[in-house]
Amino acid sequence: MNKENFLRQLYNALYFLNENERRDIMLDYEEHFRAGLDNGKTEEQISKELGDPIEIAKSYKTTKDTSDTKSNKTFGAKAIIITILLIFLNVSFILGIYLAAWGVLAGLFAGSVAVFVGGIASILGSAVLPFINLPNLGLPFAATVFLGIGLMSLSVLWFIGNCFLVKYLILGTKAYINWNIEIVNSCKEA
Amino acid sequence: MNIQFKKGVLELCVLSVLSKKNCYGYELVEEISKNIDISEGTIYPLLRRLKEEGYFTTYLVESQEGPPRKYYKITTEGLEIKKQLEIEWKGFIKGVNNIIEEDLVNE
Repeated sequence: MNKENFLRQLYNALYFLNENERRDIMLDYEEHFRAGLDNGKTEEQISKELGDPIEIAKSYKTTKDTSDTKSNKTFGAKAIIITILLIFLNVSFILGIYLAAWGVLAGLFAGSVAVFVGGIASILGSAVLPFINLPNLGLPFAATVFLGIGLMSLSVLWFIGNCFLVKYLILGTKAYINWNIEIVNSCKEA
Repeated sequence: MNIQFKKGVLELCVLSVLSKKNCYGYELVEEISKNIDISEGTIYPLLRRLKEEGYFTTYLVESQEGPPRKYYKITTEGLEIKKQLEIEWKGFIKGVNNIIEEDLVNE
């Protein structure tokens, strides 16, 4: 992970703090990166040594709990209205798109499996073909075997690509949920 | 090593380093991580908490390259806590060593 990614993830994960505290914390890590770079480390190395930004953000949460300024905020009228609006928006609009995205992904997975099966069929089919009475495509045996291998390789790549899409969708989901929580929190009254 | 345990010990490490000299964040983190295997990111939240508790103060020092650096300086309160934690720690490792090396056969 490079510096920019690390700082962005950390900043997002610190949604439970106010803007000033967040900025202040970011300065510490920016300074850390600068000092590390001056010492000849790479951004990737530094962020690896720092660890997972989400976990780091959690440590600030436990720090927060002991001094406790957040939890005595009340869930006022503004927060309730915002919550209702968010629920309405999510159910009527976002949910449909979100489920559709998973549907598309499921379709893509099914597609990759189908191509894999097709590859196997292509190899087996050419081996079995002489013994059953089916129309021959006129392809030589070697060609169908290589076609089968090609299809199977394609489906494996396809499958791996899908896994990345799933990962991004899950990351997106987390970010979106955090964003929702952040909005509601920011509307709570002190 | 267990994470909770490490965190407690980390507090002593931070205070010990700062009792010897004032450091900026990176310097402090390097000093600790060269001796103990930790995620360096866990030190900054701790620094923040200990500062809130008044164990040290911070001040800015201009550096040759780029923006000023934040230095940490231990307070007398921090020094007190450090002494206390050090005694606890030494008592603890002594106890553990006793358990490890104790000869249970001669009962």
